[in-house]
Amino acid sequence: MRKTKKSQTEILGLAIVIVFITIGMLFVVKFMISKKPDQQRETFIRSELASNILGSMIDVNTDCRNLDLSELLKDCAESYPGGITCSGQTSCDYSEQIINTILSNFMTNLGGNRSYQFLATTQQDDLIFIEQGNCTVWESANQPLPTYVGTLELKFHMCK
Amino acid sequence: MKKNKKAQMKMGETIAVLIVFFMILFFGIFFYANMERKSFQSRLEKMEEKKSIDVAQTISFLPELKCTAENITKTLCIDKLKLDAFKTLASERTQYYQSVFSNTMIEIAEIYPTSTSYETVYEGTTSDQYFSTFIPVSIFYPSPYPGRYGIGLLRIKYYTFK
Repeated sequence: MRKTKKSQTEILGLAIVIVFITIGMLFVVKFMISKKPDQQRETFIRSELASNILGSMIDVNTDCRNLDLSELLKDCAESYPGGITCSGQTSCDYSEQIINTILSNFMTNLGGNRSYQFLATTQQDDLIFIEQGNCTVWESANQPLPTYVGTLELKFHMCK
Repeated sequence: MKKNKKAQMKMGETIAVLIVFFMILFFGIFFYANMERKSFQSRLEKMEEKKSIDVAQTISFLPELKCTAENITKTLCIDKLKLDAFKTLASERTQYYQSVFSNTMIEIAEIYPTSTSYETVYEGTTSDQYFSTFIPVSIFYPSPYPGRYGIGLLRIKYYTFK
């Protein structure tokens, strides 16, 4: 009787140890599965890319009287479809063509089949809308430009 | 005789317990060492990623390249003449720029008004693995006066060695 109780106690001790080890392994596996990979670099690049593309676009000098793109866009907003004309095109059409060229060249050099959207809007109207591909928004940038008719919002969405 | 056998059984039992104990211990040490190794590799990779961002930021604000007008600097802008001069400077002062840029390749492509493929501005030590960082910049063409702004795209490849 005493021998039976002793062996039972020993087996119980062994079972408790196994249970503790199993619980420990479960915690380790759970921790390893739930740990998300760090994406600091990806987040940084994403946020900088969209805003820098938009920022570099608005300062560019065009062949239209050497005006920069922001001035053409302001003219488009203030006197839609545009008081300034170049090469038979109004400032709105000319700006849209330039922006299309710039964004297309950017995406070619960035590689991959990237989709994007560009919008130039005022409170009254959507002046320019450019879309390439189906868009699930990945990162956005905004640039407000002051005009006589209110704020002209430039929005650029880079898509997945 | 019976006592001898009992003692032998007890000894055998103790040895078995010790064997199992040491097996569990070694298994635990092996498992822990493996986890630490993976954690160390992950931390090393994060450090490399942060370093690549630091190098990209350094390059985009490099005094040898940035646009200035009347002592005012324009952010994220590269002067075309300075860029052409820098290519020569970087090849002459390789040790200095190796310490600044580490294992990096800097390339620039013009986006507007002309569209060109990537040109190498600086090339350090390269390897098979790298992080690419893209930085859109304005390019200032000072000639002819008064100059005009275009757009370019910097591609910075930061090479890692494992």
